[in-house]
Amino acid sequence: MKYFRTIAALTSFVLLAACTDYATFVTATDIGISADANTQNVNIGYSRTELFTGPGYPEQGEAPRAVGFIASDLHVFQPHITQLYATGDAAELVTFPTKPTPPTGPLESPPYYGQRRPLVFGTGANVGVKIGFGAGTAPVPTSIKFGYNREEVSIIPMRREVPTATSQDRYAPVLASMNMNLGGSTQADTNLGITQFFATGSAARNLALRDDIRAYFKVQAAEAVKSAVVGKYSYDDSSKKIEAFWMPGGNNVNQTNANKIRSCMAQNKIDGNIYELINIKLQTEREKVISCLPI
Amino acid sequence: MPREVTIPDVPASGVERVTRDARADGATKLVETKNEDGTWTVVATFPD
Repeated sequence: MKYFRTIAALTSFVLLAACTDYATFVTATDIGISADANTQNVNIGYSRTELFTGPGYPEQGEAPRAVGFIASDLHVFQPHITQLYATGDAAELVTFPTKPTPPTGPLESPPYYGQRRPLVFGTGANVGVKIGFGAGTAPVPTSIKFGYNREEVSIIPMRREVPTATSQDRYAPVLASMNMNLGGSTQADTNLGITQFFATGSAARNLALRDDIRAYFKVQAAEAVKSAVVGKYSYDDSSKKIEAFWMPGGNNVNQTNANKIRSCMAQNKIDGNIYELINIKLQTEREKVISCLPI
Repeated sequence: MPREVTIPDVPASGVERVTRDARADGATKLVETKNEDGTWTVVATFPD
């Protein structure tokens, strides 16, 4: 079923892509929430499709401006939904990173001239959650079923001419993001927070400047760095010597000696901490540190 | 930014010492998982 939907969507994209004298922007959202006090079950369903098709201006690296946004807590009993849909100058103004000066007339138009070629950008997302709660005195989630499906596609046109060093290809910007957070420890406070952005052209550029959008990538980068160190266990006699100097009694760290070890590591350009030096660094690195220490 | 150090194949005889070292060096979180072959994976998280 998933692939059928994907193929159907892509077929539509290709058919629609034949038109470059229309800019078509569509969003569709379905939300379903049900909670049963007798069975203590909660079901939340969310589905959203976003599609932009129209002309791209490959010589200028531009696309018509459009922005779609939805944020909802999908709370079981008090759902709140905020939605925004804008094109043209409205998309430009609403996505501006700072509050813009009210315009007195039409904004300066982006460079929409030159070659026009079909541009397609679309996303589809489906989320389904079913949570069962225990019937004890302190109801807690006892079962959960969670499903997530997301598809994103962009077909960005290039010029027909071969790019050269003085006349390079320029890509039109598009941006789509999705942030989701499932929360709640009881049936009454269960919610599925969802925030989605979709933008093309200068609206995508403006959104990319916003701190709340860029924050998603900061978090991901931090997570990547956090899990970056995976070392092979290499504990040996050289480790024992450093360990004995670091913790002379076997239990407590001698801070003076610890600082000497760190200093020797720095002198020998060995990164990481003492734990890593003892357990996962190379024997040659440990020997350099030992030769630097008063052992 | 916390630093996470994973050591995948720690022999069973060394787990206690490895976790002691991690704590001594300031680890704020320790997760020890037994592997199928009897060795252990130790994940230690250190603050900035």
